[in-house]
Amino acid sequence: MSMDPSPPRRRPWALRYGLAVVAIGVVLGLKLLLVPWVMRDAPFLLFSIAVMGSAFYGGLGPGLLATILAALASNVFFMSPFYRLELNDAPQRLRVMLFLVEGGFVSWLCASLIRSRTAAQTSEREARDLEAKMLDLAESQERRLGHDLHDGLGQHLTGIAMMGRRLEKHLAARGAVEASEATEILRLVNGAVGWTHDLARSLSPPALDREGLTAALRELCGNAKAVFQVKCELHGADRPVFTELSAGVHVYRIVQEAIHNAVRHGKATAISVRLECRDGGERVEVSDDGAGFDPAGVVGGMGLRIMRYRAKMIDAAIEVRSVPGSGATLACVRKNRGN
Amino acid sequence: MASAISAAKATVFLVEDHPILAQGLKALIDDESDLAVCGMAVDADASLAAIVAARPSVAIVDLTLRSGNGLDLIKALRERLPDLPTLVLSMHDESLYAERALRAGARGYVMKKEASERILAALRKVLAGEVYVSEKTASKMLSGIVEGRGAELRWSG
Repeated sequence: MSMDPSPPRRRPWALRYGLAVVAIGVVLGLKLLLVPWVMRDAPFLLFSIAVMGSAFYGGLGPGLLATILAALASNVFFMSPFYRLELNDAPQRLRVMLFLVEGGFVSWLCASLIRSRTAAQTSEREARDLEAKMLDLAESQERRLGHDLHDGLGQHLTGIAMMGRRLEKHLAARGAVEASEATEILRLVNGAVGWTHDLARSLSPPALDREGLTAALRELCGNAKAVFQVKCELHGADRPVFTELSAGVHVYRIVQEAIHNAVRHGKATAISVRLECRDGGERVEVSDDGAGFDPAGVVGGMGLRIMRYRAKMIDAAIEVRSVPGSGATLACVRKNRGN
Repeated sequence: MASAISAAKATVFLVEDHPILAQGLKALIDDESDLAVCGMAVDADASLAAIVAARPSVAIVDLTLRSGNGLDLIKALRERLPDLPTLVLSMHDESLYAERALRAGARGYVMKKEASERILAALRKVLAGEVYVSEKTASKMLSGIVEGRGAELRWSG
């Protein structure tokens, strides 16, 4: 992913103008060859193709050059007196004038078309780069927050829970009425510890860096079971898929989002995550028994869009199969990338 | 009388780099009549020498330390003090790390989020010469053996 969206370079001027001259030359040669069939009574015929081509390829300048050259060539070869640069009557002058105006206008149109096309390409690339950067940023922020919660707040709360435990015991030993309050506080702190832990895990999967995608997915399934109270099984855990960490992060997030969607939108009760590798291709599939949806209807959904985007970043694609009323299957597929 | 009790106390060495957690842990352990914290360290390198000098009855080791790795410390301790039981206290998921910690020589594994409820029971079990893991992990390891993963365990251990 490029961090520096440099604008597309303009072609060198010699090439742009040179091509205009060549284009006029070619059209002139063709026209001279065709003289026996079409006579010389259509002096500007075909030249407009060379003018448009030159303007489209090289911009306004080459377009105008081609227009002037075409007018000169038409005058010399296709207007009487032939082989002399001479305009001998008013209608001829008018025809040349009109051709020049027409050529100029066509050149201007083509040049502005090119300009806006270039601008569109540039802004599209900038948008893509920005998207990639934002995704990276969101990812790194989530991970940092996850680490902070896990390593900092979680342990802090655990320490407090231990102190609370001691207090509870002391109060109970003394037969103090506050003992039950301490027990309640301790219960709440322990709840906060578990909560912090779950939050941290969903923000930054601890297994992913150290253990790889399969272990992280196994943990994710276990977490889904505990948090959403659904069946969530991992199949094919012995098959190595998306083994590079850079791809694993994206696949993990795709599966996480798919499980989330299955539970939240599909109200699924059983989810299965399946890993497959065949013929050098890799596939991670999340299927559920939920309400399903119409795949055509959610194309614009942000979740699916980000999933597709993540897949694109790792040369993979998202395949969605669903029929309203009978579950959904979402797969992240990467074809054999050859050697 | 008091000295007789303190002489009978099992001593615990803490290797834990999070200050509040270490403080809470120490408070909890010191509060028990049969247990006392005899030393604390925050990183793996400093703790090896300190543990060898302190000769505790048991060491509680965090897997993730500011410098060094808890697993390496456990392996080093097993070489230097083969009779010293170690108990892992980690924020990492038990299902992923318990087996590895036990293979490195630890005698027990407690997740930090469950520590306030389980650590004292775990300490006593480890001090009695037994192994402490959660029921879930124990049953997972046993079913691994039943399903024939025993060979794999031996091979990679």
